[in-house]
Amino acid sequence: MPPKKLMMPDIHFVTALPCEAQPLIEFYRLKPAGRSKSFEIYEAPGKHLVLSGVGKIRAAEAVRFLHEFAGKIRDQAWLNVGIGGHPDLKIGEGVLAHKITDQKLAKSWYPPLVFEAPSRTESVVTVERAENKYGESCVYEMEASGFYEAACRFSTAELIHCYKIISDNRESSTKKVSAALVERLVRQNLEMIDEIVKKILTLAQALPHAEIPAHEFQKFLERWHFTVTEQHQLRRLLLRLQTLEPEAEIWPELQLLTKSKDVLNTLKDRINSLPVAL
Amino acid sequence: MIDTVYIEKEIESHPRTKEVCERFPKARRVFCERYGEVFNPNAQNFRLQKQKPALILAKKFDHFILKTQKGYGIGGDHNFYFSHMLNCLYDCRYCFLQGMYRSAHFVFFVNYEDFEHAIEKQIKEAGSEESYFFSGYDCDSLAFEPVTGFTSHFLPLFARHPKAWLELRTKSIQIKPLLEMKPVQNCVIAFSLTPTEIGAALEAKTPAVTKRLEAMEKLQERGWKLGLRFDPLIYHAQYQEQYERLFREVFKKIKIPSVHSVSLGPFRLPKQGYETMFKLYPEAKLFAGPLEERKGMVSYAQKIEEEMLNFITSRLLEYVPKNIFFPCLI
Repeated sequence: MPPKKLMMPDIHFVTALPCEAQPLIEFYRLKPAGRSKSFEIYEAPGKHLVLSGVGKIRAAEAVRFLHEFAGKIRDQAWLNVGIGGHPDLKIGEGVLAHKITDQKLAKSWYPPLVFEAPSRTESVVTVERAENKYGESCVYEMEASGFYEAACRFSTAELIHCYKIISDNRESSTKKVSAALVERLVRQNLEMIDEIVKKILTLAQALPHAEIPAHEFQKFLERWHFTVTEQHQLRRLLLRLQTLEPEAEIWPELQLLTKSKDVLNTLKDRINSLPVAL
Repeated sequence: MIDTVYIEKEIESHPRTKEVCERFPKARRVFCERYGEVFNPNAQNFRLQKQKPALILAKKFDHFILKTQKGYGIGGDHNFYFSHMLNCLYDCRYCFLQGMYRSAHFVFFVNYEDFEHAIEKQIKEAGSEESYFFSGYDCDSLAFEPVTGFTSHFLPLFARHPKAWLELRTKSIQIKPLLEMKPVQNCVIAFSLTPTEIGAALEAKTPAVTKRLEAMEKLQERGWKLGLRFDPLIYHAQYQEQYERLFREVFKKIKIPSVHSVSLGPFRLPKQGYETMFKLYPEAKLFAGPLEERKGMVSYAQKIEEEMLNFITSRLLEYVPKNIFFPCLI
């Protein structure tokens, strides 16, 4: 039973505005891949981008839409790229979120920074309307909480991050923010964004990859009837055998059996008969 | 070493919080309400976080000390455990913490004084009877010592209460504070020991067994009471010769009068913990081997476990008097 080839997870970008998306589309050579009434998707091998529109609810819906569009594969890398305001940080500075707070819900999330952050990190507060008072020393924006909570349903938190580029501050208000400015700011941050993507994808490779290839497993289900519980047991036993004896040729022996229970018992006996190594 | 320190707002000004933060001046500081917000969410992967765990400074509110399970002990009837930390610096593949917590971040409870009150209350309730308090269940007792100052705080407490025993369970060689103080006669420094080959294969980031033995020798010379913990026992094709060699090495250096107690325990995990650990490390041979479920626990097949226990017990009793031998069969 040959082990499945190692697979690099995909990176899923979520951006609110076309002017945030355009530099990413060009940089990663993404092509239009699909659209619904609400969302547009662009893609290239290993990369997807969904244009969500403004606000946390749309960001959450866009995450769900992209997850389904990309084949409902779990534990993919997710990155929300967008703009935000901060009282003091200079325009164009990019920050990774180390805390995301939904101001309305008074709820916070803490994206685990398991890699060395290549940029500054900050608290990000998701607000309902554009913030002009900048009360706290944090980044104010409008999508992160919806994006993050939704993405956590489909992946593990270490692979989900928000990168926010400062578009306004006390010196330069939201009134000065134009599509052209946003596009320029994102373009200036592309190298940093790409570095973050590489770090997340490298981290993702530490996830366990041991799997029984679907077609191998299907062979068992076609040959014998396994209850749902037995299917779990079967998968577990095949994984254990794959670990202990990667070149095992057990199919000829199993083919002689008529009952699923006998298949499970034969696999157990085979595992228990193998010399135990560390 | 620590890039991120999460701090519960309530303990921001606690002196121990300040001391710890001073040790990591470059770490980002992130404030939270309760540590569970960071530590408990579902969508976390212990294996990924173990690559770079953060430190969470928190306050514990209740359950400062807990009764141990029946069958766990080193000679006393009143056995309790307490944890000033959750999670461990080391990365032992067999460790049940991987199956118990979703996060690999280190949680450090700074309110030692509340633990202290709970321990003193329990000692008082036990009256003239001895109580045993075990540290090192949810963390290694000494590994984080330079950060936590755990022993410097708790050993004087036990020195004042000779009827209360403290066991510090460790694989660490952070023994400097112990060497600098007068031995506390009702404290057992208990080292977990496995054969070198098993340590190399399964105990990532731990000091080598030879280093642990050197640390034990120093403690022995200073007059500290030692505990020898052969737990968990790991089965494999060469286990007999490896455990025999381990015992020879241990008892060449460690003299029985210095040993308070010796215990051993087979490799066993709660079923749910095993399931979680298997998902985290499906390629680990330890979890793929001849294990089976019995009464909600996953352990080696009964025949293997009995064979291993009988063999190791018999070899161990060649060195150790029965009155200080406490096999743990939970």
